[in-house]
Amino acid sequence: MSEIEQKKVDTLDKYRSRERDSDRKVRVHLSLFDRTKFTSLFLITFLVLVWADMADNPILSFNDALANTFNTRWWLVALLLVEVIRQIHFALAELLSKYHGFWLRYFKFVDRQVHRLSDWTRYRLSRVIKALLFVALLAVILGAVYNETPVRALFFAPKALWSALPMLGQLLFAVVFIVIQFVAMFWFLSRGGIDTYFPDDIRTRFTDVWGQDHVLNRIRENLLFLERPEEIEKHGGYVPGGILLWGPPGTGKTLMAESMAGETGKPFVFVDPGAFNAMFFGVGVMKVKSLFRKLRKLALRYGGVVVFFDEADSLGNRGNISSGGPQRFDGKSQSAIFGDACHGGNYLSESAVSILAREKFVVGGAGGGGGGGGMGTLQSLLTELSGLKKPRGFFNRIVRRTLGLRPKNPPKYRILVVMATNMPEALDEALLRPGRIDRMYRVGYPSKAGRIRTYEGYLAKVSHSLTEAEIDKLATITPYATGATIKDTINEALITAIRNGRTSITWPDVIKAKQLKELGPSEDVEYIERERHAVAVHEACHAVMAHRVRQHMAIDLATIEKGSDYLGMVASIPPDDQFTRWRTEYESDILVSLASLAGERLFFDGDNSSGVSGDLESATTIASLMEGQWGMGSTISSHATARRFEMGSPGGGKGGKSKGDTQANMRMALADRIEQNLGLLIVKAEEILKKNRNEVLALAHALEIHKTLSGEDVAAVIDGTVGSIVDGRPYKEKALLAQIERYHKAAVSAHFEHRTPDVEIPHI
Amino acid sequence: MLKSPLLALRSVPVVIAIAMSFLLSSCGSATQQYPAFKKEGVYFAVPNNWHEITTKQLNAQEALATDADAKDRAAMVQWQVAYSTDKAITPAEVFNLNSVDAPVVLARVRSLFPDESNSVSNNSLRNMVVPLTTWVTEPTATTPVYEIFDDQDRIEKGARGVRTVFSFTLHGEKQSIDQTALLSPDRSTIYVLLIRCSSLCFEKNKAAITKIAESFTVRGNK
Repeated sequence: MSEIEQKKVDTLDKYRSRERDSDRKVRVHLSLFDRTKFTSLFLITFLVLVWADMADNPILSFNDALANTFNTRWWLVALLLVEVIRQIHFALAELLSKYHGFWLRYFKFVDRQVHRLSDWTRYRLSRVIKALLFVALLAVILGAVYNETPVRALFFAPKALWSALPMLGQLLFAVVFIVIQFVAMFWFLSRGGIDTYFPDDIRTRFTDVWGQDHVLNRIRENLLFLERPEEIEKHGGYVPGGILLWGPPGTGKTLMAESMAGETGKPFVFVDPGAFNAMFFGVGVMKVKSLFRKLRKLALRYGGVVVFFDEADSLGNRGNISSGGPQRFDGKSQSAIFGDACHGGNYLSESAVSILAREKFVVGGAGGGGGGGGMGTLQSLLTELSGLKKPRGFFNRIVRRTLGLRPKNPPKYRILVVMATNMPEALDEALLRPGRIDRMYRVGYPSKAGRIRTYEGYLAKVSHSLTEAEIDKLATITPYATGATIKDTINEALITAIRNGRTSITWPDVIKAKQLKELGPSEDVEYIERERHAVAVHEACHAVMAHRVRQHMAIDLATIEKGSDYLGMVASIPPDDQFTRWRTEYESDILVSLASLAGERLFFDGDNSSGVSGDLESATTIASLMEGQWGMGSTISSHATARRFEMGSPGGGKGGKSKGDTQANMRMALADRIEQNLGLLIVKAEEILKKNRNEVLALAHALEIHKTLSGEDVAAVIDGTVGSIVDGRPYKEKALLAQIERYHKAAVSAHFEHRTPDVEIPHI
Repeated sequence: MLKSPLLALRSVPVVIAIAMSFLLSSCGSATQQYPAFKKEGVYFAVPNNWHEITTKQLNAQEALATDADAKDRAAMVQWQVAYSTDKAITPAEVFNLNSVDAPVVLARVRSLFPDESNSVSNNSLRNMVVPLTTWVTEPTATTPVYEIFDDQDRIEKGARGVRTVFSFTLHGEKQSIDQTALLSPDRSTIYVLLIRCSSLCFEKNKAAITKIAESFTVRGNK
C-alpha cells in the first residue's frame, strides 16, 4: 500500500460521523458570526440612535448624546446585557458538560410542561402571543419615530400613512401597476375547486350507503382512528393517512365520501377533479400548497381533517416509465397474466413477474403522462402527502433558534386523504405507496344482499306492490346493478307506471324498465312476416341451445324487437358470482353462438343469413383464445407469449414463419386447429337442434306472438310449464305443434319465393 | 476542519470587551442640559447644575399681568424657558428687571404682530429689554448709567440679529445683561436669549454665561 493510500485510510478512520444531539456532552460550538451577531446588532442600533439624537440637536456633543441615549434607551442596553449573559452561558455550556447537562434537563422539563397543553391550545395561544408581540414591536418602533409613548404612537401611524399616501402611491404606482396584474391573476387563478364542509353541513350518513358494507366497515375504522387517534398512537402506531376507493362508476364512491363528511366530527374538504387544472405553470403547485396549508390549519384547529379528491385520476401520472413495477397495467395493453381471470402472476417469483411486466410496459414510455395535474402539481402533491416533516412557523423556526432552543418538530397533522377513481391504473404509482395512500379499497358491484338492500331502499321511497321474493329475483337478474342504475331503474319503472295511469309500481313495470334500460327503446319496426319468422327461429335456436347446454348462465330475456344495432337477442346473466371459467363452459358458449348458424341451415334448408356474423365472431374469438391462450386446445404453449417473442406457435400461427412449411405443419397451424374445433362444435350444435326441433319452433312461435320473453317464459315454453306471462303447456300439444310446423313450412317456401306465407300464424 | 474549542471561545472575551467598553463609556449622565424648541429649531445648552423654571411656570406668571393687551402678547409667545444657578429664583424674578445675585437665563420664541413685524429692526432688537438705542442716541437726564461691552451681528442658519452685552444701573444696583435677539427671515418670529445678573455675579460667571450665549442656535422653522 502506497503512502498516500495509507494516509487516505488513516483520514477515513479518523472520520467520525456527526454526533447526535443526544450524544453530545457539551453544547455545539457557535461560529464567530453567531456569537457576535446580536451584540453587533444591538451596538449598531445603539449607535444609530446616538446618531439620530445628534442629528436632532445640532449643539449636542457626542459624549452627551451617548449619555442621553444610554438613559433614554435603557432597554436596548438591557437587551445587550442579556445577550452578553447569554453568550457567557453558551461559552460555559461549550466548556462544562455538567453545566450543559443541567440546562438540557431544564429545557426538556420546560418542553414537557409546555406539551401538556394540547396542540390545539398551544396553537391558539401562540397565535395570540404572536399577534401581541407584533403589535408591541410596532408600537415601540412607532413610538421612537413619533417621539410619543408607544401606545399613543400606534394611533398616529394610520394618520401618517394616510397623509403619506399620495406620495407613496406615486412612488409605488409603476411597481404596483405591473405586479398587481400578476398577483391578481394568480390569486384569482388559485382560488376555487376546494370546498370545506363542517360537521352538520351534510346530512348523509353511513346508513345511507347500501350494499358496500365491507368497504364501509374499513372506512369507518379509518374514521374512528381519526376521531380517536390516541387509540393507535399510544401504542406506537400512526393514523392511516390515505384511502383509495376505486371501482366501476356508479358504485357509490362519492356517496361514501359524502357519508364520511356527514359522519365525521372533523371538517371535510372536497377537492374538485378540475381543481388543479391551471393555465400557468406553477399555479397548480400553488394550489396544492395552499390546500395543504389550509388542511394543516384545520387539522390543528379541529384535531383532524378529511380531504377527498374526487376522480383522482385527473391528478394524472408521470408516465409509465416512472413506475416499472409489476402492479401497473393500463387498460389497452392489459396482459392476461395480470388479469383477474386466472391466478395471474401471483404464483411466480417477484423477479419473474417484474420481467414479464417490463417486457410488456416499458415500450409505452412516458406516453400516459399529463392528465389534469401536470406541471409539477402531482409532484408537489406527493411531497405534501409525505415530504420532509419540516418545522413550521416564525416563532418555532426563528425565535426558538434565537433563544438557543431547537425548533420543535411539527405536531402530528391528522389529515385523512381519501381519493376516488374509476381508473386506478391512471394514478401515479408513487401516489399509491403506503405512507401516502395506505389503504386501497375496491368499491365493486354490490353483492346480491347489497342489491336487495338498495332495491328496498329506493322502493321504500315510492309506492309499489313488489313482494320480497320479487325483489330477490330482481336482484338476482341484475348482477351488475349499481346504486346509480338501481335508482334509475326504479325511477324508470315509476315513469312507466305513471304513463299507464297508475301511481304504484308493479312487477311488470320493473321488468319493462329493466329491459328498457338494458336494451334501449325498441325501434317499433314491424318485420314482414317471413322475416319475423326467420328472426324468431334464429333467436329461438340460441335460446333453446342456451337452455339445454349452458348451465353457468341463465337466460335473462329473449326478444325479436329490433333495437338500434340488433334484430333480436337472447341475453343471459350469471345466476351466481363465479370467478373461474372452464373449458366446458366455453364450449357451451360456442355452441350457443353457433346455434344460430346451425339452426338457420337446419330450418331453412341449408340457407343462412348474414345475421350470424356477430355470433361467428364471438365463437371464433372464444375458440381462438381456448386454443391459443387458455390451454383448452390440443397444444399447451401460449400464443400471446409466442407472438410477443415472435417465435411462432406450434405448427406456426399468425405471424409465425409458416409460409414455406410442409403440408403436415400447415394442417396443424393455429387457425386450422381453431377451424377444426369450430367444425366439430357446429356438428354437435346441429345434432342438439335436430333433437329439439319442436322446442325451437314453439319458442319461435311464442316470440312471434309476444315479441319479448323473459328468461322464465323461455323456460316455460321449452319445458311446457307456466311462466310469468306465457303459459307453455299448449306447446306440448301435438295439434298445435303440427300447426306450427305447417306455418314454418309455409314461411320457408315464402322465404325462398319472396312472398307472403299462405298460412296464418296459428293462435292458441 | 474542527476548530479547537479554546480557539473558538477566544471570541467570547472580545465580544464582551467591546460591549462593555461601550456601555461603560456611555454610562453616567450628560455634562449639560439641552433645552430645545424643535418646531423653530431653537437650541442652547446650560450646565447640569442649573435649575429649570419651566415653560408652564413662566406662562402662568405672564398670565397674571392685567393690562389690556397682555393676553394678546402672551398668546404670541410660542416657547419660553428659564434656568438659574439658584433654586430660589421665582418666575416673577425672571421677568422683572431687578438685579439678581444668581445668573438667570431666559430663552423665548415669540411671533410678532403685523405692525411689529413691519417696524422691527436691529435697533429695536437691541431695545428688547431696555431702550438701549435711545440711551445712546438721545441721552437725557433720566438716562441711567450704562456701559456697552460688546455689540455684534449674529447670523444663524434660521435667523439673524444682534448680540449685545451691556450693563446698567437701576435703583442703584448695577447689573449686566448678555442679550441675543434674532429675527426670522420672514420677519414673523423673534428668538431671544437673555442672560443677566448683578455685574459682580456676571463677572464671576462670565465663562459659563458666554458659553451659554454662544451655544444659542437657531435653525429656523423647517
